[in-house]
Order: sequence, then C-alpha cells, then structure tokens
Amino acid sequence: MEKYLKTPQETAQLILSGRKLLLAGNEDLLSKLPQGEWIAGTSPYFMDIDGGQVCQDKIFVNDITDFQEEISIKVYTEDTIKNIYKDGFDNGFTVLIIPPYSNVHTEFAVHAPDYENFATRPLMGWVSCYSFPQDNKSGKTFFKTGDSGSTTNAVAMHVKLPKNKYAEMDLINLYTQGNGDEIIFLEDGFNAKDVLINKEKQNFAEYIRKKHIDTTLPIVANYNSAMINVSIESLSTNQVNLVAPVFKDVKYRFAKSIENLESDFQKFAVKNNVNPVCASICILLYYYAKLEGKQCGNIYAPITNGEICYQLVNQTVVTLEIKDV
Amino acid sequence: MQINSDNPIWKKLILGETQVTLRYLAAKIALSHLQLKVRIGKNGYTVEKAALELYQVYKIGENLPAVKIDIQTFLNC
Repeated sequence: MEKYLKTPQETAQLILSGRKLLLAGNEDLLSKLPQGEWIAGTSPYFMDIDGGQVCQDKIFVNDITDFQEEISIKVYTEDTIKNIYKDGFDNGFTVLIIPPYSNVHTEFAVHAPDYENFATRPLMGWVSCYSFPQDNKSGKTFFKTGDSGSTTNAVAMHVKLPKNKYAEMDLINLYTQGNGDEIIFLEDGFNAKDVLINKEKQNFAEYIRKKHIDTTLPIVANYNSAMINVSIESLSTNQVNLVAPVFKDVKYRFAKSIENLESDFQKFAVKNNVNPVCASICILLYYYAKLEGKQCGNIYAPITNGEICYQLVNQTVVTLEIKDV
Repeated sequence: MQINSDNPIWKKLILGETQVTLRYLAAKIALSHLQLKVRIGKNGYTVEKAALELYQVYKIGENLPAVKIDIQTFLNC
C-alpha cells in the first residue's frame, strides 16, 4: 500500500500532472508547491500506514482525482463563509480548511448551524495546526499556489461526484454523555463564565476545580443520538476556554470516563471498518489516546486542531467515504 | 421523495412529538439545532420554517441509504 506522506518533489509532480489534491504539511513545504488544483492546511502530525507520527519533511496527500467529476476551489472570509453550504454541488461533498484563532474560524464555529442550507450537503474538514510542534506559529491555509498562505482565510474544495456515487460522512466518537450534572450555557461562544449547573447559576471554572473534573474529558451534547464534543482548552481564574463553541440552551454533560482510551480507541477504529477517501483526526486524541506509532484502522489523515462535521467538533475522527449508489 | 414538504411528520419531528432513532447523521445534527431554534424562538424561527428546512435536508440527500431508511421509518409512524 502506498504511503500518503510524500516528498515535496512527488507532491509537485502530482500537481503538475493535473491531479486534484487535498494536502497537509508544514508551511515551508507548502509554500514552495507549484500552481494547480489543490488546497492545503498546515499540520506536523499525521496518521499514515505506518502509524501516527510527526513529520516535517513530507506532505500528506489525499488525491481525489479519480472520485470527482468536477471541482471548484474557493476562498472564504468571515463575510463569505456563510455561503459554504450554498456553494456546494448537489451530489458531492465539500472539504473546508480553516486557520485557527481567525475571525473566519470563530464565525464558522459559532454560526454554521444558522447558514442557509446547513447540513444539506456533506461538509467535512479541519482547522489547521501550527507547522512545528516546538513553536507556536499560527496555522495557515493554502490554495492553488504556494504563495497563497493565509492565517485569515478559509479554503474549500467543492467536489461534484458522478451520478452513480455518493458521499457518506461519519463521526467516530468514543465519548458519550456521562451521568453527571447537566450544564447549560448562557451564551454561544468559545468561553464561559457563569453557567447553569442543574439549573443553578455557578461559575464554570470554579465548578470544575471544586469537583476535580478531569478536563481531558470533553463536554458532550446529545444531538438526536449524535454525540457532539466540546473540549476544554484551559481554565483561568473565573473562565473556561473551549476548543469549539458551546451553544446557548443546549444540554451538555461531561463525558463518561474511558478507562483505557488507548486500547479502546484502537478497537473502536478497527470495528468501525470505514475506508475513507479523506478524514481528519483531532490532535487531542493523538495525545490522549497515545496515537504516535499506532494505527487507526483504515483511517489515514492529517491530525488537526479541530474537525468539521457539518459544524466544528472536537476529540473525534471525521471520515468521508465515497460509495456506489 | 415519498414524503412531501407539507406532510405533518416534519412538524412532529421538530416538536419532538414523533421520536424515532434517525440514521442520517446530517439530519440528527440539523434537527437538534432546528428544535432548539424553535424552542427559544431564535431568529424568529417558526415550526413551519424549521419543518421545511428539515425536509430540505432529506430532499437533497434523498438517494442516500440512510435517508431512505429514515423515510421508511417516518412512513411507518
């Protein structure tokens, strides 16, 4: 089986031969790629056929040429990201890559469910990571040419499929709601001060400290049996910072603790038996499930700062398969 | 699609009057947001508007196996 991580020269050859590519790698490598039909985001972490790894001299390549009938590459700002669903093909899917901590990131994260045609077409993707683990450079996105690197713009590839194919997305999530207190947030957003714990107003940061809650566990909302995680990024004196937004009036609970995340994740990935054409794996799972050197079933993907499965999600694996009608 | 936009099932789903286990991931997520919008009256959402949006999620995906399973479930309600 061919590796997904390729040298910059191999990647450039694919681009120059007209292949349509979804790429991930470090900024220096992506910035030197030739013009062509590709989009990319920065990340130093990958899941390839030889397991999870940090790699800074190769580029992760998803070649979707053989699946597509037509593609359209678009750049989105905080003002235009609302069109992401409208711009997609009726029979197809969209891959969206967003730079972290940007205005377009916040806009999409908080408002995607309000966009026209929300969830009418498969939208998957990821939030780009910094390029090097040892520093904290901002994640970037790229499209079509190496000099397009941006910390502010999102990029998308809208893919049209032939009539005899369809795209199926899945959200692989080991976490479920625990039996603890019900948490309701008073506003949408990436941070929270006062919240309702079992309908009683409390400071969320104080509550977490008082209860000695393990903050490697996400808070989980039950969306008609789809479990949607929001990860805890950090706690300050009186505020909890989150990796994805919470939504006002949605009922959250901390996730049920998983005794052996490392081995459970391996079993779960194999049991799911998906063969995605593209996927994204959360960086928190890479660390918490100790994925370095480990396999993830048949899932080969960049490891990212957050995943997109119609909306922004955390601590999951998002997969997209192409199947025959 | 076997169920039209004016079928009462869409409103019943939005209002939680019909409770079924959905197979279509897009619909699970969309339905949750639509139910919340109607419950809190966000952006002036009405049951009718939410029901039509849920119908559209299914209409555009009508050839997908998960959608066909859900539609059959709705027909059996």
